[in-house]
Amino acid sequence: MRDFTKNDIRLFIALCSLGLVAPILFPAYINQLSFAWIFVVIALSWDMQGGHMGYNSFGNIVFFGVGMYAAASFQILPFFSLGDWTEAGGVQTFEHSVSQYFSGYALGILFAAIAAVATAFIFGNLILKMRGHYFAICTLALGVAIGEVFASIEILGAGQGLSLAVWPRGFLDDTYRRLFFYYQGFLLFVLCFLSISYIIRTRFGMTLNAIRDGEDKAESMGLNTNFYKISSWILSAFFIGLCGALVGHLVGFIDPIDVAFSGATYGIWMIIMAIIGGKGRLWGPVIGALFFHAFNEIFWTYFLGWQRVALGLIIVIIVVFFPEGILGFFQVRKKSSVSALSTQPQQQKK
Amino acid sequence: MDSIIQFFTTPSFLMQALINGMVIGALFSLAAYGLALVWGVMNIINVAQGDFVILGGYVAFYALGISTPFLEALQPNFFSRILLTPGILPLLSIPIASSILFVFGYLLYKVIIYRIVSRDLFTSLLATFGISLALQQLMNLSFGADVQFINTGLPTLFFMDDLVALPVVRLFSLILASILSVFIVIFLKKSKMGLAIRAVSQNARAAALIGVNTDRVYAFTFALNTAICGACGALVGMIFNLHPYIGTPYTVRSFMIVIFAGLGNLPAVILSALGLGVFEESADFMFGAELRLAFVFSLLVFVLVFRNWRLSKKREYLK
Amino acid sequence: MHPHPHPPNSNKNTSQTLAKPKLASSSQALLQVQKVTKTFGGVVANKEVSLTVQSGEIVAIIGPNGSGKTSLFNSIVGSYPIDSGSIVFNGEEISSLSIRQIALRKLLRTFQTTQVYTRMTALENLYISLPQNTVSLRSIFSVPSKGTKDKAAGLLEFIGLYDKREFLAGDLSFGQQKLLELAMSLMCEPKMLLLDEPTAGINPTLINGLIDRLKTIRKEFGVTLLVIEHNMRVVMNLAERIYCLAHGQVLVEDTPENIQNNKIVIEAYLGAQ
Repeated sequence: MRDFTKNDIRLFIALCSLGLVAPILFPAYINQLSFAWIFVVIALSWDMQGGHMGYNSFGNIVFFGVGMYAAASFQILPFFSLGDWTEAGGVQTFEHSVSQYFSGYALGILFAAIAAVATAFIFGNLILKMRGHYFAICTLALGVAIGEVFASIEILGAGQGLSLAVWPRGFLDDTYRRLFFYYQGFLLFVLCFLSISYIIRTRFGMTLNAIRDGEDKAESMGLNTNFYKISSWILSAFFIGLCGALVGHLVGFIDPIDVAFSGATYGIWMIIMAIIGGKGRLWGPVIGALFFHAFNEIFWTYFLGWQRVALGLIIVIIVVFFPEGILGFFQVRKKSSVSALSTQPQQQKK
Repeated sequence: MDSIIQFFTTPSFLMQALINGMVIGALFSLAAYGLALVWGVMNIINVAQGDFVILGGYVAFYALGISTPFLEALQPNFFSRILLTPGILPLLSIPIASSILFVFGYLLYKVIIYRIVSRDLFTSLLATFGISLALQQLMNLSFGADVQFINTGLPTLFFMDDLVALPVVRLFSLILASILSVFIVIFLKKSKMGLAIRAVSQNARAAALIGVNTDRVYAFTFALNTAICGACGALVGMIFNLHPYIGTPYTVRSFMIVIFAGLGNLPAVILSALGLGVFEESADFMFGAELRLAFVFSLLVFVLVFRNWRLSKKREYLK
Repeated sequence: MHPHPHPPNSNKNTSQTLAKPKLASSSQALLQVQKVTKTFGGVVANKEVSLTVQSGEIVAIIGPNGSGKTSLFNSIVGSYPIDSGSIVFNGEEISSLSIRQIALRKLLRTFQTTQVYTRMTALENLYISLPQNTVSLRSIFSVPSKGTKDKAAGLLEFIGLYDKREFLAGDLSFGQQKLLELAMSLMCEPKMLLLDEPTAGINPTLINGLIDRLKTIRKEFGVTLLVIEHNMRVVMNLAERIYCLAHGQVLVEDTPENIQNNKIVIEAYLGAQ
């Protein structure tokens, strides 16, 4: 499970090649493909503490929203007054020039990462000392609380939301805009996947597993569990914050409750995607996210108006019947067939 | 800042906050006690608690909406006259909502909940979260997205030079909530099922060994909880209003009350519920109603962090 | 609550005449517990317990169930704050330190009900049990080094679990998990180990081997051992000194030979008054 086998490398290279050429093959679906990578990244990042560390957070949406707001506001701030910007609302009276747009963009991305990491550090110190369901409920409340707070900040548009800088007029056409975001999403996936696949092989990753299996024991062996917990949350926040920034730009408009801090969509999706694929397994969240996203895109329109009902039922069905996810489901079957054949140690890999 | 000073220097504001806080606190304590019951007995934290409350409110709303015109259309007789007296029908809608929610809870247990009783907490959290999501939109689809409230037709009392208002229905609900909680306690203490519930909550395996049908106890406990939510919801509909998506704050409040009071300690539950109610109302006066949700949810985070910090001195933690 | 008929030193005269009990002087003691009291609510787990362990000793704690042995272990390693008393380890007062800080000072314990990382392999269980005060940030974020791997493999070999090195710890038997836990503690290079019933659940035919290993641990690794044990054969073979606890208090401290014949100890076990 820990070692990156030849098959893993093949699969990863195949996925990367597909990712590189996908926008050329399916030019009509570039946006959906961008979201696919973003979903993979948020699922992978959530799994860092949800799966590998066993700290089931309902509140990672906080990093998503904070990243999104940071990216949006720091793209605007250097050039315009944020107050005037929000007052103008959806009507675009302000326009970024090409250089303004991209320098602001870079600044926004930078601050998205910083803001998310800082948030994770601060709240990690406060609430990662709780365990089990107290932690889960606390993060749930945190997600809603921060969302409500952002919905009351006047300068960020309060409940009306905040619109992002639009792509500079006359600069390349819309296809390039989409490709620009697509390849960032793809790059984020490659970065996230490689770092997580590396980290779970290190002593750091093993310690996260140890915290999942027995935090008291880990502590009594002298491990500084707080350091590991907070670091892993920060790592998760880093990637989710960047995803938030990207989603902000892709959507173009931030609603505090329904987009940025949307616990009922992205917030729960990242959990459910990781579980669908298989929690605590490297490929689990990847498979889960791709599966969920495809399902979403193909069937969601049929559920128009019923989406949350469908999502709720999906969650119930998955956690009740397939708690180990797709990978776990197949592994259990494989394991039982192997153990029927031989009594050799078959559990060398999880 | 001005509003804070004004709040503390105006007796009528303080009085109003106290009265309102007591009333909503009484309501919260009902939902919280149900949550604690399910948590203690079945080891499930029911995230859908608040949505059950709202569902109960809608059931009461529609029970009234159907029965009132029906009774009015009848030839006036002794019974219909009594029933149409202001306050009587709304009062009757509470047990109706309660019993319908009891059946609903029982069915929900038989379909979903029994599969997650023995599973880990994350499973039950997620599953009830899923139920909550589905229930919210189902209510939206069936009852509409408009804000509704149950009109009881009862008058409002005024005190302190008409500065403090107390609608009679609030007084009603305060009394009713108290009666209900007393009833629940007596039920748990005296009845056979209550005894079984307490036995299972202490040690499910031992209870099963001496012949307690744990499955039945769980089903009943869960249904009892939804019934409590139903009654609570009917009162919520009369005092506040109903909307498909406002259930979650009730869940959070219940949870907050329970962690403050501990499991299975009814007086403490009632006390902390009243405290939360008064606190929330005061915050409303001081910071404005639009920050109310932010306040409630942050308060939960704060309470948890604070309790964990207290425990950490004993080298313990919340788990 | 239980006024004991026999004050702890009522038989001192008999024991002192029989053998040379190494009544520890505090100067070179590795662990010195003095008048430690711990209550939970109204229940007294330990009342004014004092004991001393010299560097390089193997000391056993015996006593009937509920006599406060495990509570004493918890107090020593800092699972919870003690009510009063002092615990000095290696010349340093540790009673106010947390469990992690104490572990960093190389005082470790194992648990009665085993605690291993169940969904990790036996080897991985060892990889992360390296002494934590020597690891650098860089080594945390890298794959276990060759040295670590060799050390872990060697310890598994020593403890007799090398064949099971790739098994998930949760799939090992209870006895094997106990051994693995012991290996994890050794990986951490402790100065002193508190073992909570090391032979409980271990196949009786393997117990002799375990006793030998524990003695080797003391001799080769230089680890001082404080052992809670119910199996009297193990206690008599292993320990050099024995403390007998009852009702949260130290009843007797003596050599194994004397303890065997001590009337008070036998009464405490059999419950005679």
